[in-house]
Amino acid sequence: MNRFNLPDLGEGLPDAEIVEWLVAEGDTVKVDDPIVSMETAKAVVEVPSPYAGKVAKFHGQAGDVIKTGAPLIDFETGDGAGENESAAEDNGEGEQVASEQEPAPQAVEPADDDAGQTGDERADTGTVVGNVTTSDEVVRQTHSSVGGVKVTPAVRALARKLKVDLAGVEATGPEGVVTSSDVRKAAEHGPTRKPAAEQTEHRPAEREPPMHEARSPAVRPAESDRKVEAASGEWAPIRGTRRTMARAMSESHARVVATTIMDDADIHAWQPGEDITVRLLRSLWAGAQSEPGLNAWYDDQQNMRMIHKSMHVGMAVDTADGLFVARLKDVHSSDRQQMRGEINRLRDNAKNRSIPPEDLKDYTIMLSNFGVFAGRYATPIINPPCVAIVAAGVLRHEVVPVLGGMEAHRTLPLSLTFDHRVCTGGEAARFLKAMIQDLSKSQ
Amino acid sequence: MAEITLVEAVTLALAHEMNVDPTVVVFGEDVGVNGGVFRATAGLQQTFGDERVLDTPLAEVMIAGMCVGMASQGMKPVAEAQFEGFMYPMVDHIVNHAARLRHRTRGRMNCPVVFRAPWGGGIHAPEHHSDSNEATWAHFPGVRTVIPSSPSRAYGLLLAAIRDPDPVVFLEPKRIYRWQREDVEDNGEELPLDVCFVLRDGTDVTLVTWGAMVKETMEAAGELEKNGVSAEVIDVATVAPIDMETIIESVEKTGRCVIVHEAPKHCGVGGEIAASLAEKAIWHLKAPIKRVTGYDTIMPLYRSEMNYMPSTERIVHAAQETLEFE
Repeated sequence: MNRFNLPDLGEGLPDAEIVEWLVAEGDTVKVDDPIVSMETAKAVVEVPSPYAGKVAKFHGQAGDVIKTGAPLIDFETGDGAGENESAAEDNGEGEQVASEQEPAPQAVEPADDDAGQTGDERADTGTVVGNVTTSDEVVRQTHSSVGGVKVTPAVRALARKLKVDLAGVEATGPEGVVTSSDVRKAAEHGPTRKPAAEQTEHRPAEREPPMHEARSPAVRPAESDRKVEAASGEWAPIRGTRRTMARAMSESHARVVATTIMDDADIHAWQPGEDITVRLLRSLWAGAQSEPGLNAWYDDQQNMRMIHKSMHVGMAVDTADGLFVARLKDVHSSDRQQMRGEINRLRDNAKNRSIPPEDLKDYTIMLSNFGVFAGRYATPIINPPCVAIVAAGVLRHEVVPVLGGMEAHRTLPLSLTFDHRVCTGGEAARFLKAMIQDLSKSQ
Repeated sequence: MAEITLVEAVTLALAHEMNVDPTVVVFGEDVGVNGGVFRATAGLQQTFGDERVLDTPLAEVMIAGMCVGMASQGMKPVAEAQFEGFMYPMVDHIVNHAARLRHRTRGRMNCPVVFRAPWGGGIHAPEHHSDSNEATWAHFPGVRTVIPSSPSRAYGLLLAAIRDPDPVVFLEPKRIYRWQREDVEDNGEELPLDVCFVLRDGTDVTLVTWGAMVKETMEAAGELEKNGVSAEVIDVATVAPIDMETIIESVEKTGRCVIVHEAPKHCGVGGEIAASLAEKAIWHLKAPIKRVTGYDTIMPLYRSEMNYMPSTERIVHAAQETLEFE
């Protein structure tokens, strides 16, 4: 049997969701045959078979979230050499290594005080200085009763550390004693035992990991016990792209010191038929040439930044399932046609949900063109490690004083969010000014 | 499971962690061939070799310096000082380097080192061999100070101390090294740092202590029970940082608190606990807090040693005073 664990599908994310099995149990597959489509961070990825042989077992069904490194599928290869190889691979996963290790050697058992004594040898008193009292009295930990459950001091201390309310822990130890694993289970999954008080009927999305690790497990019962009198909908788990969006936004909100400045670009001089998105991309590169510090990555763990010499723009793509950020490559060196071709390619891929993973990362700055619908200004959110994002609102006509009167000019509202940890307000303002100047050109 | 003493539990925890984690190394004076002045490292060198269990020269400064260097580069050193009184040459490395490495490098580096030492009085030893200097370490941020008081807690807390990514001073109450045995399963399960252990539930008075004084304090709780007084006993275990929540919850229930430690009263950890109770729980107190401690003098030599250390009678008396307070 060859077990295949879910590899990291290129996003550095902890898990992926099964969209559809492309083979059935019992099917015979060749190496590199597509076996399953998995939804990762923002795209659906087809996973090729690592083995030739028969599909023995699936470790999940469509809709299940599989953790990276957890079993995905088992194969029967029927090939002796392959079996051994895979066994060796499995051993690499650690669990078996531990169990196959030899038990702790007995030699480390401390020398007994009277072990191996002969008549004229001085007894080992267990110290070279003074006199340590020795006794063979055996003590046992006593249980105490906390909130109606029996518990030892050690387990009680563990519950304190993990902020677990013992009243909500189901006891599995002998004579109804709560064990340390009972407490750990409650810390991970919430209360395992109904408290004396009445329990509410529903807790949303239990299988989803909490968004923030810092969120204390002890808070969860209190939240879920809150009665919602006016609730008329159903709690449903957040999945797929929307789930990724939730995670990315929370992380950005927790880490980035976001500051937004807003202004308008006067595009009155544009020739008919100018491509707004292409012009926006070009103006981003104009901004970066003026202030390269916004076309950069910031690693807040290492406290280092990388100012990029080229520009790949992460463009927000709105879909019914949630938000994608797709990468437009080589904006710094592309002409209009190349940029338009790249935009169309990504848009089609997004529509078909088949963006290759490499097109979802490694962008150096971000653009959101939300104004096709409504909305003038915004406070767009940066995806770390990027440090800047520009959002373009809806085009409008603005009355502009000109020599000898008033004119109605088309203007494009711009909002620039930058990470104030690594960019100054001056840099951001000069970046935006360079963008506006580039956008105001006739072509 | 085996019925083992506290010092044997220390050996068991060291052996367990050396087995599962190749980065754990043990060194100190006479820890190798002789197995340590109290036999805490007995047999480890035979099992793990003299590259992982090292006898060092009589030079505590060097031992502590080696620890900081190794720990900052990915090893997990567990160093032994033969007695707590020999830790003072290590202060510079512990306080100025081990405790600050994480802060100094803004979290880029850390220092997973354990400084073990037999600690406290009551074994009729000469000068420098009987002090209770936990307050020294407890005062410095960046280093944990942990004191087990039973075989199972010695095993679980030492495992946690070795696995902790930051420096831990692990003080072993030598008077009760071999006083009792307990069934300790060598299952690698650590106990939580930074929380108190409630050893006995009670409703009338809270007795707070740590280390070998757990023995006298539990005896005092037994005496008080004969007189119809229900005493709660808390083993603080990690004296820095202190889990005041557990102590405050208990005092909210009992309204009375007696703190027991071997160390001198002045600037002892008991003073910190009393001050925190005054800050956070004074309206729950029905009587002034009492401290039963060593005296503010040099630890006497062995003839007077037991007169210096808190006795069961002194603890019972202090508890009764709080109960009689009008």
